[in-house]
Amino acid sequence: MQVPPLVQELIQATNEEAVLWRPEDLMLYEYDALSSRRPPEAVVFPATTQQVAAVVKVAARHHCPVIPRGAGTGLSGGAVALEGGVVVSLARMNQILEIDLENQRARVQPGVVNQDLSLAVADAGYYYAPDPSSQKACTLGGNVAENSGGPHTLAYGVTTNHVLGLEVVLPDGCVIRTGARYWDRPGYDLTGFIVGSEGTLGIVTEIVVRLMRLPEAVKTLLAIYDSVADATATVAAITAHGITPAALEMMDGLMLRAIEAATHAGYPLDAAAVLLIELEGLREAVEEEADSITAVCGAHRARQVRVARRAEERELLWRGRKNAFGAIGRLTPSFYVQDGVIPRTRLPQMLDYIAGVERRYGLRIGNVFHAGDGNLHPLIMFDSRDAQQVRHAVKAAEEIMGKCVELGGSITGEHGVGIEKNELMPLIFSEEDLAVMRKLKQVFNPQNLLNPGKVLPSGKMCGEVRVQVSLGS
Amino acid sequence: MTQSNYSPREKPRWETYSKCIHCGLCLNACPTYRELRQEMDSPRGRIYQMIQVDRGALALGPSFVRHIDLCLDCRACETACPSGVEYGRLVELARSQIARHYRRPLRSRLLRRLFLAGLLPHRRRLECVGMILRAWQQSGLEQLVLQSHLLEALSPRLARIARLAPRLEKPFFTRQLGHVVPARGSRRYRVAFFAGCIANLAFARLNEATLRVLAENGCEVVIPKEQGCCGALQVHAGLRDLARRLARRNLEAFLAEDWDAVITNAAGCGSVLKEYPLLFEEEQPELHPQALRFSSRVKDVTEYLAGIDFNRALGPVPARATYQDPCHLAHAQRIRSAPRQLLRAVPGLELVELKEAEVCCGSAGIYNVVENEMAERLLAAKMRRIDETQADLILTANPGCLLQLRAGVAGSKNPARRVMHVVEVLDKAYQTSP
Amino acid sequence: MATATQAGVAKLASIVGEARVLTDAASCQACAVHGRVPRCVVFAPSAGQAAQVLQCAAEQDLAVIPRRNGTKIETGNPPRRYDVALSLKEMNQVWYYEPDDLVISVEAGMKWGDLQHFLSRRGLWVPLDPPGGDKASVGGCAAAGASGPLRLRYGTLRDMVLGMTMATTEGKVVKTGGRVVKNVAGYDLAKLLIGSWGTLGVITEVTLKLFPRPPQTRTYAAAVASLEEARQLRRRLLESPLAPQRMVLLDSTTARLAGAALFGDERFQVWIEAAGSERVLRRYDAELSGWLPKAHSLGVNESNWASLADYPALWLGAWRGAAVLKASLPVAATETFIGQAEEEARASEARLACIGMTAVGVVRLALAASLPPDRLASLIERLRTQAVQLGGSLIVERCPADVREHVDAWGPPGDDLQMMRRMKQAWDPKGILSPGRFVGGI
Repeated sequence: MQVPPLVQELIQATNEEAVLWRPEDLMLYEYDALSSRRPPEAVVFPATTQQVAAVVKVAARHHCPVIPRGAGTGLSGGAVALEGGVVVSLARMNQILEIDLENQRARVQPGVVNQDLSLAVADAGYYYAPDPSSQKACTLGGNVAENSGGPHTLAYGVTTNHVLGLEVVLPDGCVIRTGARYWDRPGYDLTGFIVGSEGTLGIVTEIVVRLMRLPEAVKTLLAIYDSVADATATVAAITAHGITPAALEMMDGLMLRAIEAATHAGYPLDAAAVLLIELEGLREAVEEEADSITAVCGAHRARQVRVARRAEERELLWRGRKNAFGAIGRLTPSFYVQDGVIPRTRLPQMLDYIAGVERRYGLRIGNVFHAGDGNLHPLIMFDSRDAQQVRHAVKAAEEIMGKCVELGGSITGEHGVGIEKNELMPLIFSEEDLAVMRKLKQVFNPQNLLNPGKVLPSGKMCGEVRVQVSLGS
Repeated sequence: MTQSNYSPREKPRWETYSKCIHCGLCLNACPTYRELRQEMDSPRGRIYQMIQVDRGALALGPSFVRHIDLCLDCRACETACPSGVEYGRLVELARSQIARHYRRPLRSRLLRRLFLAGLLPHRRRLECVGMILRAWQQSGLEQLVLQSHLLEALSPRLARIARLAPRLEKPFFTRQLGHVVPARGSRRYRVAFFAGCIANLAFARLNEATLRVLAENGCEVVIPKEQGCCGALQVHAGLRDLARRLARRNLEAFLAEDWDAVITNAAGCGSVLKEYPLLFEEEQPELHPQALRFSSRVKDVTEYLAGIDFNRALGPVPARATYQDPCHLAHAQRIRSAPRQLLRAVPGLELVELKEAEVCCGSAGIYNVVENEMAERLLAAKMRRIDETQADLILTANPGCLLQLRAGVAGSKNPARRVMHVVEVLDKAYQTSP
Repeated sequence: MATATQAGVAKLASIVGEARVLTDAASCQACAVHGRVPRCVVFAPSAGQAAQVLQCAAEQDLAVIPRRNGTKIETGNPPRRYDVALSLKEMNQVWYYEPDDLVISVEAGMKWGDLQHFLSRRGLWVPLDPPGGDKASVGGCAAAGASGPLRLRYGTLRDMVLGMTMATTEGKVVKTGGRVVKNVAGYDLAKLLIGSWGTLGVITEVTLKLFPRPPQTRTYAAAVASLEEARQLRRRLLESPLAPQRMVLLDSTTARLAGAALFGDERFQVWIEAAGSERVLRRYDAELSGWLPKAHSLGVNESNWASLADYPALWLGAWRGAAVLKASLPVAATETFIGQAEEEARASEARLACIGMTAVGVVRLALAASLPPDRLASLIERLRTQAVQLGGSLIVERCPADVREHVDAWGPPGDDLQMMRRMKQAWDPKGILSPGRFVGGI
């Protein structure tokens, strides 16, 4: 088979082992965790920043889109080659370059797996706080691109609150360093702007992150409810009581049963909902907060509040929670995860609404979400082989998103916009807001070669068709 | 949809693979992905390739075979998978398709045929080869050849593989077949022992230790005579017809009586013994009920002991130890706490948790022979983690892992470290018990 | 030129009304920045009008500096030109308040003290103690990326701003983020605006995350004999499970100015403020009494912290003509930097005062000397060089006009300056917003 000129140049920029170009290999890069689209023209695995820069220059010469990719665990399609092009996989740039405990910093390459960083500093009593559910597989580069959250971001903030500096390859091949190893460097906060830009502004090749001290005490509570409304009311009450748990998660009965089947974590099978609450910090503070929360749960008719006694028990409860999206594979051949945010006080209202949507379309919808910050993840179940169900799933999702916006929320809390929600952006942003975003994107990415078709609406596709394509039907 | 590139029987099926939601949570759990960092060599990617072959979009050709071959079948992805995808079943069925429809180069065909079909299933032949090998080892010739670097000159790969060869010690365990070992003290259980194939030659002492430990725990142990190779390596290689023949032999040998348990000390064997029913789902389904009855009795020795309130009259075994989870114990059989529970009961044994203990050491049946380069990379990574623990005693619970880790220790800066099976530690502890 | 400007002023008046455009000398003089006096002061009553004012100014090529109370207006380089002072004084409404959700949206001109007072009715606060104290404005703090010692526990505005509205020089009111605590929809423009010192757009509304006020606080003050002792203390604190709200290392002069009693002949004092329930505070009592044997209650309280927050007033009240500097550093380098600064000051016979937020890597300094301006400037440059060598940076927040001619406020830019310039170009193509005041001449 003839090696195309683009590929030849990519090999020159890197080496033979670093470039995939045969169709049978490229096929494996047509998907991420959202959907399956079309294969790219090549996949490159650069080993150094210089190689990333060289690859980007080659692509620019060929006027070819460049799609950065970490582990491909993203849920908004950010890593798929919508228009073909070169996928730049950062997976092999996975060195932890420096750990500086006195300054509570680490300098890492983008391909380092989130959990591997915490593992590397755990013995010294530190960890990296943002913990997306995919943390055992997802990369820090991907986290930076998506500004990933996770259950424990309730108390400690999302990725952007933990990233101080970046090395970035711009679409023209220039390399810049933004931010620093300390906060407050004078100048525009380009680091803060690039975090969460979903790979549309530059390719991050190095990241300076903040490490945090492991807490002295951790307590995990499981509050069990016979009604969803009581559980959601508890969430608002906990917030209003001035307690910020490290994590505050909710799962409804449907999800509980799927999770329990997957992990045998000891979740009650007959409950209507549970809250999984984690408290961290000083021993005294944790104990007091646990008492107040138990009281609040009791006041809202929790059937039982269980405290995990051992570390293993706690781990098991969390494994169950973190495996929730996957566990749904046991209930349905296909599902569509949503990622909406609403003000916490509107949770009861929102869940009523979702129950209504469920009835209206005759689809099952599971709820598992970061209740503490109002970040919902309704899981709409359907069978992709049934066109009617697919249509209904899409409509249900859009109606739920619409309701989030109506209640003063947002269309994505942590999964990102990507190709999934770019056409929904006008729900929360005016044409003028979007125009400014477009202009700023052009500052970095003037040819629109870097991850085209993501984040901003293209206006090319109507919502339904787009989501159907993204659902792979 | 175009035609499937699989033949209809025993193939990866929609009902199984459609559970994969391509979330990617398996990626970093997969040893080959950890090393190569490309989708084709990840569980998600392999499943995707299997699907494409089924859809007729990918040929059952060299590329597919390469990536399926490189899988260790360690099933760490099953532990990571939230959807409950039965990856082991999928990859074994894919390999069955490959075995039937893909023509390998002559050398690799011969090697597989000779070893998996010509040798392992036949006790006599095994003994013969064993005696020759033992003579070779005892004559000092092996030592000489290994030290002379002759093999390195010939083929570095061959030299590395040669170092993996087990020490064969007299007497072979085969002479124990058909015997009964009485319980020490009053008999509480009557169990059957599964002795394995190569283990009869290379792990005779381990098997004996296992019998002693079981006896210490009130077990009368019967070693059925007509038993044979479990068929695990054949299942992994996709030779399902052969595996079924081996399974039938064991069903006959073990179902003759109603044991409290059928016990094995080899995680790899145990895992396939527990999965015999899968072999009889599509083919010879009339044997499926028997297979179910048999497999429900099979217990790993650590699992069994931890489940029966084991004899805690253990003497001290002073050591700083660490434990490597055998993949087919931790992932395929989901047994993680039992061996640790046993080890924690041994006085003087300081158990240090090994980071990434659940990642494969690279042994994986005959993988370290046929995919030696990847196996060596995995072993090197494993040894780095082991070094971190500063343990002088390395423990695991599967003969294959023992060989691989011994090779790792032998080639390390600290070759004095011992590598033992959990059961051997217990045996020692019972012996030093006051 | 003068007539052109007059025409421009008239147009501005047509946007906001005659009464909101002041051209009298006293009003203009009051809004001078580094001696430059604007031609008019315009009061924007709303975001929309602020945007129109900017658009009009851009069309007329009038340079604009947004302001409220001017608590931080001295920071930055002298403007290249300056025609319009855009005051947000009238924009001080609360637009959205959901105490149960712990969210508030306020107009940028609201004073920090008013905001906190408003929130205190429900026992809430925004845990930020910005320079300028109560007089600082919400928008000003955001534009300056201002923070104080409370950032040790709560972070900075960067971590608390959920959403923002800003007026652009194209006359648009643009929104970013939202009113929920977690949101990744679209580019995060708020990050760009925070710390942009009014050079990209004018912040008109800010949505903030709220926190419940802790039930009690307690400050532990102790004498610290040496920087080495301070270093050990900082390490110990950061490695401990304790999470105090604030910790500062003060030289004895600053401690005295902030109203604290002295132990005697100490070189430094450390103040550590813990927050929480009585039980939590007892834990602090127990732990800290072990570390700080010489600690005893000096009665340091909220008012001492408040006077510390207004450190420019504190220092300049005592040392007229002093330069006020802020060094940002890796945490581990803070004590070293203070030591080096002390030596440099001693060698130049200058007096030095410091507030070291050593656990977050910020050191504020006051330098007073009877030196010629260029010598004081070169002393500042030497301190900056040391900060840079330690992996940090140093900015000049205040200094006498004649010194400022010799020293850049921000220090050397990095290799991302080009991108910053392009950013500026995209937001403000005519270059009318605070021209020349920011990093690299932006």
